[in-house]
Amino acid sequence: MTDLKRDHCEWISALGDGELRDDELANVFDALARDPTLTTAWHTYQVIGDVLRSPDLAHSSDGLAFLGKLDARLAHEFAASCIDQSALSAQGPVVDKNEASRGVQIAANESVFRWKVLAGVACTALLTVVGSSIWTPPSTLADGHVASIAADSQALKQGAVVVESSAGTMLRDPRLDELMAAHRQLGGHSALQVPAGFLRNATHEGSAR
Amino acid sequence: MNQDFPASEQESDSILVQRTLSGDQRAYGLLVLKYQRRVQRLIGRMVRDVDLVEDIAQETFVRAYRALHQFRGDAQFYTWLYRIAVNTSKKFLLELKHQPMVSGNFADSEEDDETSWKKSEPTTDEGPESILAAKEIAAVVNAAMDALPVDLRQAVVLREIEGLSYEEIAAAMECPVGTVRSRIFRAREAISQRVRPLLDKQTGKRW
Repeated sequence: MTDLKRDHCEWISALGDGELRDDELANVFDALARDPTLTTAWHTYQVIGDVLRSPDLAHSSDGLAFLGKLDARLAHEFAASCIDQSALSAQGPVVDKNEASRGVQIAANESVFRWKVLAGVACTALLTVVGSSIWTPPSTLADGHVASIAADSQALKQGAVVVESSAGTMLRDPRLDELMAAHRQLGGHSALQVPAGFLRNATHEGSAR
Repeated sequence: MNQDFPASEQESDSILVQRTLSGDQRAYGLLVLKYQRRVQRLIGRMVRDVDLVEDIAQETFVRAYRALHQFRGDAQFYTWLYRIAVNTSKKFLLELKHQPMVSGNFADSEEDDETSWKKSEPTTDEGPESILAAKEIAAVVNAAMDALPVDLRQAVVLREIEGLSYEEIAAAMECPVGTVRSRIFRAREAISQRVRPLLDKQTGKRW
């Protein structure tokens, strides 16, 4: 065993006891990384300590094989998690790529220009027809409306008769009076009901008198 | 679990945990090599199925590795690891209970064939070779201890069995701390020269 190796093994021994100096602490892990036999030395020292404390612990002393399996398993899990993370990070650009390409591609429902022009012309023509049919010049409309009102009032004035009654002065229409006289048989009673006078006089006790 | 670990050992574990958290997986490997035997012994007492002990121990250390950032250092590392091992073992036992192959009628079968499995039946954890190898390792360690010079043996006993710190050992042995460190290392190295060939043969042995 060389002096250097001896020093390193002494560091390993002191590391197990928590008695390594700070300046040695940084170096011991570098030495462990370079020299795998130091891990074996650590294992042997730990087995010795365990066996001295309890002979039962001499069992399952194949720690290096155990560690090899564990390292492989941890490495596998680490690689799997790395693959998962890289897959997740790779999904971002794929989405962006799709979004970018979406802007370049013509949409399936993109309209054709000639049809857009035709639809525009048709809408304009329809609006013109509808608008012209409902729109009348304001002066024409006002004049006609006033004229019709005046004619009605004139006709009303011609047919109306002023009658003085106890209730006051009444404006009567002779044609209306004529119409009501022709239907006098129904006046005062509802066409659908029995006259109220009959109801007031009717009795079931008449035969007893 | 009930062993009292000296503060210096706790400090050692803390260093390795911090080193692992900073990304050095070798440091975690050192923790595994330190506690693997104790964890497997604990699991072996709970599960009593040799085929499961190593799997549960592996799962325990994987879980501990994943949860290592939660280890605050308030308790000793082994106390924290112990709880993970117990919980992992319980989980495995529950899963075993729910497996139709080993539960219910099959587990309680009175048939005495090779496929029947009784829950309360203790399994033989090791083959004769494993038992012999373990005994051999223990015997070699003890023999190597006996062959050590008195000052080396005393230093390593105070450290490994009594759990004293280097400073306390130095005070007890009336020598500098550096001398204590050197004696402990020389004692370990002398024992390891005799034990290492046996450990090399252990690869592939089951608990």
